[in-house]
Order: sequence, then C-alpha cells, then structure tokens
Amino acid sequence: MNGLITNIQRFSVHDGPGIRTTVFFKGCPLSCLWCQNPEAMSSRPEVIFHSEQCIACKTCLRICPKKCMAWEGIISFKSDNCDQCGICINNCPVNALRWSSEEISAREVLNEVMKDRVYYDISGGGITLSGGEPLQQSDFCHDLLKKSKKEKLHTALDTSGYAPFKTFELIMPLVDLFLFDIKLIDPQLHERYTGLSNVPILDNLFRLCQEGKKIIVRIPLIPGFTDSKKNLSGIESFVKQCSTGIKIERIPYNPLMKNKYHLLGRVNMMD
Amino acid sequence: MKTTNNCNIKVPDILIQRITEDTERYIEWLKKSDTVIDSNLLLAGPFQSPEYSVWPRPHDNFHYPLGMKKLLNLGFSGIKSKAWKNASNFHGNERLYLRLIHRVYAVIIHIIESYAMAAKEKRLSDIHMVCRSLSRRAPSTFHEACQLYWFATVFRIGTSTIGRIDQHLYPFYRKDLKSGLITEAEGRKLVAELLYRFEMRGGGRGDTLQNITLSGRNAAGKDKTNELTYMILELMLGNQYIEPKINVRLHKKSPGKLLDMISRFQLTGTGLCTVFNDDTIVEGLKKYRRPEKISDDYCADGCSEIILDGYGETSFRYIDCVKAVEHTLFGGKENVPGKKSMQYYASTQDFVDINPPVSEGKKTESFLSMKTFEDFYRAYLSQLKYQIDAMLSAPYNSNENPMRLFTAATMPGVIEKALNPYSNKACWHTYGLFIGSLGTAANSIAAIKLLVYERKLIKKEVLLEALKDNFEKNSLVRRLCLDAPKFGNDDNYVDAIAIDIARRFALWVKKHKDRTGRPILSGLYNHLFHHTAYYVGATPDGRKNGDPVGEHISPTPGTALKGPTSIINSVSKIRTAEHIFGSTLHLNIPLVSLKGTPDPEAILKHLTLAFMINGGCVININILDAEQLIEAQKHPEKYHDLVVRVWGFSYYFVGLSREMQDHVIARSQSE
Repeated sequence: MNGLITNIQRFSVHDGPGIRTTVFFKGCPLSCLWCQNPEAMSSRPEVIFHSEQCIACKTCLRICPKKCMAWEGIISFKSDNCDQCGICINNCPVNALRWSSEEISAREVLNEVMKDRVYYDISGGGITLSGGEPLQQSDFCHDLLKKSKKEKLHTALDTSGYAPFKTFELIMPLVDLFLFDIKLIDPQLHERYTGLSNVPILDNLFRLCQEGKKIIVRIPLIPGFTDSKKNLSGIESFVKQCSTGIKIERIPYNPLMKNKYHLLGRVNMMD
Repeated sequence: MKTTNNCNIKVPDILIQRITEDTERYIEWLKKSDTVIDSNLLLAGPFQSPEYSVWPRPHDNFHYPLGMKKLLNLGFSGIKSKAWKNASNFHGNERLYLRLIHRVYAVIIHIIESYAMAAKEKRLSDIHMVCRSLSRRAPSTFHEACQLYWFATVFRIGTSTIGRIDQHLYPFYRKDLKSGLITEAEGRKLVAELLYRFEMRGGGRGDTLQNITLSGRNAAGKDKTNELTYMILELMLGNQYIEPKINVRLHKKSPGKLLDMISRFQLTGTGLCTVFNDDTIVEGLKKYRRPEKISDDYCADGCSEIILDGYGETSFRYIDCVKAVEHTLFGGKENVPGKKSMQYYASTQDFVDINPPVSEGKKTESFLSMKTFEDFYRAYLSQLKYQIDAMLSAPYNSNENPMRLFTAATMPGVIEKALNPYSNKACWHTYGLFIGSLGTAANSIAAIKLLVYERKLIKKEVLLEALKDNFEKNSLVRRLCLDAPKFGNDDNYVDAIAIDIARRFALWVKKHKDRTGRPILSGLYNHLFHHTAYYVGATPDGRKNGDPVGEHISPTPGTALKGPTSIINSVSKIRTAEHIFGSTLHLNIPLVSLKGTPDPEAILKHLTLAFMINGGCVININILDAEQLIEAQKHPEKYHDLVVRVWGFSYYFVGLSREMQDHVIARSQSE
C-alpha cells in the first residue's frame, strides 16, 4: 500500500531524541493560519514552482490551460485557478515545476530511512512520522510503523491529535514516543484559527495518557495567537490534569516557511 | 628508480660541503638571539627566533618535526657528548659531520648557560636552576622538560609540526606529580605558558605548521590519553588562541570525556580540532611496511598529511582529478585562457607541486569521437594515469636544502651511526601523492554519463560549447547539468564514480616506489582548492569557472542537499583506508540547523563516531554561520576575532583573501 509523502528529511534533530529521519505525510484535517508545512495541508498532490530553478523558457506560460503562469520579467505562479492537471510539470524541461508529494510504498520509505541506521544506533535516534497528519493516512502509517518496528527502530509520531481514537489504538503499540501538538486551549479560538474544535484533540491526549504512553506535548509559539500567558498556562494545567510526568516543549515559530507559500503560488494569511 | 646522491647512507662530499657552510650561517644566526628573560614568566627565551619567518628560505625542511622524544631523553648535553664520543668511531665526512653536530650543540649549551647566568643576576632562582641543569644534563623535571621544549622550538629556523606533545611531556609530569615536586595547578601553569608561547610565535600568521597531535593508541590498541591531553584541550578551549593547531587521534576505545571535549571544540565553530581515526590510519600504515612501533607515533604534519613523529620527514605532490576531466574533454588541452590557466599558475610557483606534464595533460582523442560512456571514461582514466605517472616518475628532490644539524641530530641513527638523515637507514620518510577535487570530478563525469550518453539530452558539441562559454549563453544546459546527481547526497549513481576513481588512484600510486623502495602513499586531499577553482574552467556538473570545487573528499560546496549524514555516507563509500596519507572530510554544518536542539554537542559527537565506525580517515567539523560570515566580509573591522578553518590551519576570517572568504561562505551555505 502506498502513501502520499511530501518529504523524507534525513539528519532531523528537532523531532525526538538523537539523529532521526522525519517522514512528512501529506494531508491534514486542520488548516492552521500559521501552518509551517503548507505543502502538506491538502490531501491531493499539488503543483509547486521553484523559481530559482526556472530558466525562463516560457513553455509553461504557453501550455497552461488555466493561465496560472504569468510573465513579469520572470515567471510567476498563482495557484487560484490551478486544477492540478500537471501539464506544466510534464513539459518543464528543468524540473522547476514539480509535484509537492510523491506516492510511495512503506518499503521505499524505509529503504531511505535505513540508510542512516548507524546514526540512529549511535545517537538513540530513529524515525519520526510527521506531516501533515500521519494518522489521516492511517493504514499507510500503520504499515510504515510496523515495518520500522521490525527493523527495531525507535519510532516517534508527530501528531495534531485530530483523529478518531481507534486510529490511535491501532498504532499505539508501535509508537515509542508521541509528539503531541496542542495549539490553543480555548475551543472557540481553536476553531477560529485552525478550522476545527480542539475537543477531540484534548480528549485523545487524555486517553493516551491513561494508556501510559510516552508523550511530549509541543506548543508552537505563534506570535499573537498561541503565545499568550493565558493560553500557555491553560495548556500546561490541562496537561498536568492528564498526567503529571509529561514534558511540555515550546516550539519557536519558523519564519522560513514563508517561502513555502510562495512555492505553492499561495498567499500566506500571516502576512 | 632514480636516486640522487644525498640519498646514500653515508654523507657525501657535496652534501658535507653545503652542510659546513650552512652550519656556519646557522651558528651566526643562533648567536644573534638575545637572552630574553621575563620575570613574570616561568620559562625563559624569546617568543620568536631572530629574523623569524614562517617560511624561511633557504629553509630547514619544514615538513620535518624535531625528534622531541630523543631530545628530551638525551638533553642538549647528551646529544653534544654522544656526537663527540661517536665521532672518533668514524673517519672522513662522517667524523666531520658528527663534529659539526657537536659544535652546534656546544653553541646551544653556551647560550643556555648565559640564560642561567642572566637569571641568576635577576635573582630568578627557578629559571636559573632549570637553565643550569639543562646546560649540563638531560631534563629530569617537568619544568626542565617544558623549558627544553621551548628552547628547541626557538633554536630552530622556521616552524614545523610539534607532534605528540601530550605523549612527549607526560612522563615528566607524572613523575613530578607523584613525587610531590609540583601540583596539578603548577603543571597547568607551565602548559598554559607553553601554549601561549606557540600562539605568540605564530603571531597570527595562519599557516605556520605548528600542529600538535593529542591522544592516540599504541600498538596493543591501548588508549594513550593522559591528564595533559585534557589539560591542553581545556586550556585551548578557555582562550581564543589559533595556535597551536589541534589534532586529536581517536579510536574505538577513546574515552567518552575526550569525545565530549572535542565536540565542545567543534561547536565553537573555529574548526580548530581535527580528528584522525587511528583505527583506519594505524592499520593502513602497516600495509605500507611501516613497523608497528613507528606507525603508532604518526601525527599530523601541516594540513592533514601524516608524518612519523621523530622518525622522518613528509613530502608530497599533488594532481587534480577535476582538471583531468577538462583535459579529457578538450583533447589534453585546458579550457581556461592565458593568465587564468593552470600552466600559467604553475609557472608562477617556485615549488614543484604542479609540474608541466600535469598542467599540460596528455594529448587524447577528441571528445566528439567517443561513442559510448565507456570510451569517455577510459580516456579519462588514461589521462589521470598519465598525470600520476608523470608526476611520480619526475625526479624527486624536496631535500635540496640539507637538513640543519640541530634537527638532524634528533633523528634516529644520526649521532649513533653518522647516517645521512635523508637516508632510508636513518629515517622513515612519508612520501605521498594527493589527488584533489574528487567530488567535483565525480559530479562532472556523472553529468556526462547521464545527460550525454544515457538520456542523450545534451549533444557533445553543445556541451563543449557551453563549457567554453562558461555557461554564459546556454542556461538550459547549465540547469540540466546542475540537476544531475551530485556527490555527497548518498546517491550511488555518482558515488560509484568517486569510489572507482579513488580505488584506481590508490592502485596506480602504490605501484610507484619512493627513494627508499617503499610504496608511495596516496591521499585524497587538495591544498590548492582555492586556486583550482580559478584554473579549472566550467565543468559539466554545472559549475562555472571560479566557483568552488570540492575540497579534499568533501562535496562541492552547495551541492550536498541532504545534510551531514548523507555526506558522511557518500564519503564512507570511498575506502579511505587506502588513502591514509590524508583524506579529509570538511563537514560544514550551518549553525542554524543545530539551533533549538537540546544537545548540539551530542549530535556532533555522534556524527564523528559514525564517521569513524564507517572507517573514515580524517574529519573536521566546522560550524558556520553564513550570515555572520557575510557580515564579516562587509564589516571586517567588527569581526577581528572570527576564526575559521582554512585547510591545514584555522585563521582569522577577515585576514583571508577575498577568494578564500568567498569559498568559506559558499561552503557554509552548502549543506
């Protein structure tokens, strides 16, 4: 069975212990205003445009049926009308236009991951599943975790927490560490900025804690949205209620992602 | 195999004549030195020798460490008396040779006596006692050993590698500590002063060859880390010296504490600490018929080439495998005009690193007539082999300048048997050939294989035209070339080419023998990479003339896109155990990629360990902040203290040439 993957990032040192490889799944139920991986939001492959690779041959300009490409001294891409037909990708001579994701099997993913085995063994690292929301591709996620465990890899799952609890139950025995994101404690604010209520998320966290799983709660610090004292202390006291031994990490906002919106021909709502 | 006169065991007439003349000049030079004693310091002697320069000409062969172990063991007086005593066993030139050594050491002892007197006048009883003792006998205390270390350093013209300082001095330190003669704090003060003196002697000159090599294992595999190893590293971490340059020999059983200190060094970003993998190098040296006892004493010489501490010199030559790609594509000719060419560059150099057969290349068939990739690759290999053979069969005369007797006397067999220090009976020379820019050459060949022969996307004549034109007009060709597989991304398509070139290179070099009849060593190293960038024209990997080439076995700056683990994996596929003369990975990690990680030191330690487990040879981890470097280039006045690794040495960034600064910036952005 195949999964939709946006990237396999080796030498990943921010998502769990040691030196790891992070596999980014495509598709996410939430649509956070500040999303750091916008290319992983949608569950469908999308056209991305790497303008630094463009040689301005104007092929795409001529052939795009939806007129998404414009000539302003350089080629620019606006995705509003794009129906992801892929004609431009097939005709770009230099790979400046490409799909934002690849459909590959768990075995293929693992082949890439296993290239860094020696680093995991030395550093206590392993594989991290991130995204997007890995649990949205639950079968593929399960398959990849199962295969990883067969190779005796340490597994971490970076999740938004938004999934049916039975999906959690399915993969739980295969996950050594949950990196559980909580953005906002106020359900209304959560719905306003991410599109969905946080009730199932908090509920899942509570139930996972009951199972005694190893969890790190991560709060992305988005200036003006999640970094208020009220929100942070609210999350912290909720986590304490769930279980006392849970570590909370605050993740600084990464302004690098602005460029990713540009690649997708989209406007970043944060601007 | 050609041998020149002065390779004979005995000292020939022509040599003795030059030695006699030179010795007179040397003694004049010695006598010029003032008696410098500072009452605030523990050791006597000036920071720098009179008329000091890093590369004095005519120089004492600077790729020759002093036999410090022997010197500490016998003392100046021991060498003097031994030379005198043994002289009577010989006749003619040999006797004259030993008597000249005696004369040199007598002058040195006289100078030390005058130090003792001057100290007495200044009522500095410690320095007085130490100098008096050194003028009469071998050092017996740690203080005396440190003083001898310094005198020996400044009595030599020019600089050289310092060698295994922690091993040289440890017996004295341990004895004094045990007997209660000194405390740990007193010992530390002496070591601190010695290091301070090396820093002052270097005087911020950059490439001074003042390398120290710490730790390491012995023949039985036992770790030789001692208290001085840690003390030196702690002191070097504590102050912002760029000298002496630190090299550490690690192996399977190196203590964790040592590894931790090294990663702390790496994190400072100065690149001051180069790691040598004993498990690869000591084992490798055995294959080159070096006895175990001697191999165990290898140390870093200047850049990353190795030398046998106290047993002989190192010398090397260099060819470039990316230039050979250019030669193959252009029928043996260069693709850079006039003053930019390698031939012109070679003609401006007064050393033999690049000689005409190599810069001219072999006249080969036209690229246009090479029908298959195999045709092309065969032509490339024959080009490379031609250059290796041309370089290694050219007469070898790095020892035109006779070794000064002060240095020679510390070599094995010289004062005992009146042996010529350049002879194979006396010394264990390390002679090697370096090949540079392996990654860039592999990238270029991979691009030709994929784009010209397999996918047929670029016609041969179009590629040649684009290369001649430095990709100015044809951006499509350049884009395709840039997108071809690149070394350093753990991609077998291109890594396999690098492996094959390296393997053949080792085999071809090994077939050549040095003047002592032992196989010549090979190394994957390029000490001229910043020049190579300019005298190699545009390459089929999409690199323009002037853009950096990959240093040593590192990827071409800007082309390794998957991070350090992929780089180490690519490099590990090359059997560097066959290239122990020095195959260095410069691993540049942008500071930003480590920000926010709980334990960046542990990450660096684990990368080093993985490199060693994979059988790597030499690694230098450099943490660079590209933005800071660009700022420093714009506002040098604000960044006087910013130190970066260059090749064999670390140096102040603002003091580098613009070309070198650009190279360092490019590599900081690369991974």
